[in-house]
Amino acid sequence: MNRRHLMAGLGALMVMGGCTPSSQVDNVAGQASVYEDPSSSGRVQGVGIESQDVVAMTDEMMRDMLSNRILAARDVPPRIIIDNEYFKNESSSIINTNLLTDRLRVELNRAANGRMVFVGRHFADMVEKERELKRDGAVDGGTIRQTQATAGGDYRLGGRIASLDAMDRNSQTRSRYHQVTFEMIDLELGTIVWSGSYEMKKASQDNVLYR
Amino acid sequence: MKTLIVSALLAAGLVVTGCQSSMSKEEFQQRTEDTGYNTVIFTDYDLNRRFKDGLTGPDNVMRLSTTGHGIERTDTGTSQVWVELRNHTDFNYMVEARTSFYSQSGRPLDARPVWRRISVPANARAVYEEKSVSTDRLQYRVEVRQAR
Repeated sequence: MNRRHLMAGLGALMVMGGCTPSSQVDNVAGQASVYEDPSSSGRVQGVGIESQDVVAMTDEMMRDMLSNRILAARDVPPRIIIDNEYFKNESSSIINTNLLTDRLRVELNRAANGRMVFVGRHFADMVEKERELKRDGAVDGGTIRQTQATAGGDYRLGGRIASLDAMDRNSQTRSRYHQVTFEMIDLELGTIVWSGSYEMKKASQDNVLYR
Repeated sequence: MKTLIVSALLAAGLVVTGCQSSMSKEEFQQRTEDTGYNTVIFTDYDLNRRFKDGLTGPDNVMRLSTTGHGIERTDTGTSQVWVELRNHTDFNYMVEARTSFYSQSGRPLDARPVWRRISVPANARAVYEEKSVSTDRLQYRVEVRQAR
């Protein structure tokens, strides 16, 4: 009887040992990455500024600027600087402000079609280096023209992202109100010739990490 | 006898299932009709829908509707579309709308349309506006859906 019990116990141990390998290959198809529409809410949503917000706010500002007489209806197209030099993020959201200023400049440049001229001030180093090489005679003068100096701007974009956070301690629901202001400054007079703002408030229980 | 009853019930079940999955004439028409230009379309059919809700149900079920829409030129020659939405429910609605612009001959023009959020308070109205980037004379088509 004892011997039979011993044999059964050993058999059970062998079976269990075979069933629990120390390592294994998960031989099933994984979750494939999917493309999502950047102008619509995606699977991962939090209370921060997301792609659909970037697209919506820059699109709205672009269309609004093109309906402004000072910026888009001059006989001589104004020279405009749009970069993030004077566009500050003072909110609790993590965002690269270049996402906003780059998209706004690119979309506006494409849509303006000559109604505005954009100065690439963020490429000033690149232009100066090439001009020096040309002036030193290291390279020829190119085929376009030579100018005394590079273009000065008439207007430059300034702006700010601000936020207000709130949290319900019982439900752990977090809400964040964003206010994003865009302003176009006259670079001689210092006046603000155009303003636009974008507001949004989001609430979420999910813990989303923005990087 | 028993087999006959079971078979009859199964057949009836199949028929009922078939009828439920088929689309009503009104719904099919709304989903496939030519929408034309200078129109507002509820692409989210839960917001505004014509359908048969059983034999005695309503023909038109709506949560939101449009009370007016139009297009006008801005100072710089671009176009501006406006749509007034009316919320018929006791709940605040967050909806998204986008405008596609077309030339007079019907060719899609202008910058790519982008969904914009609008809050329509309960039993109230809200206005959605969108500007074009082109200075051409344009036609428009506005699409409205529930925000996600």
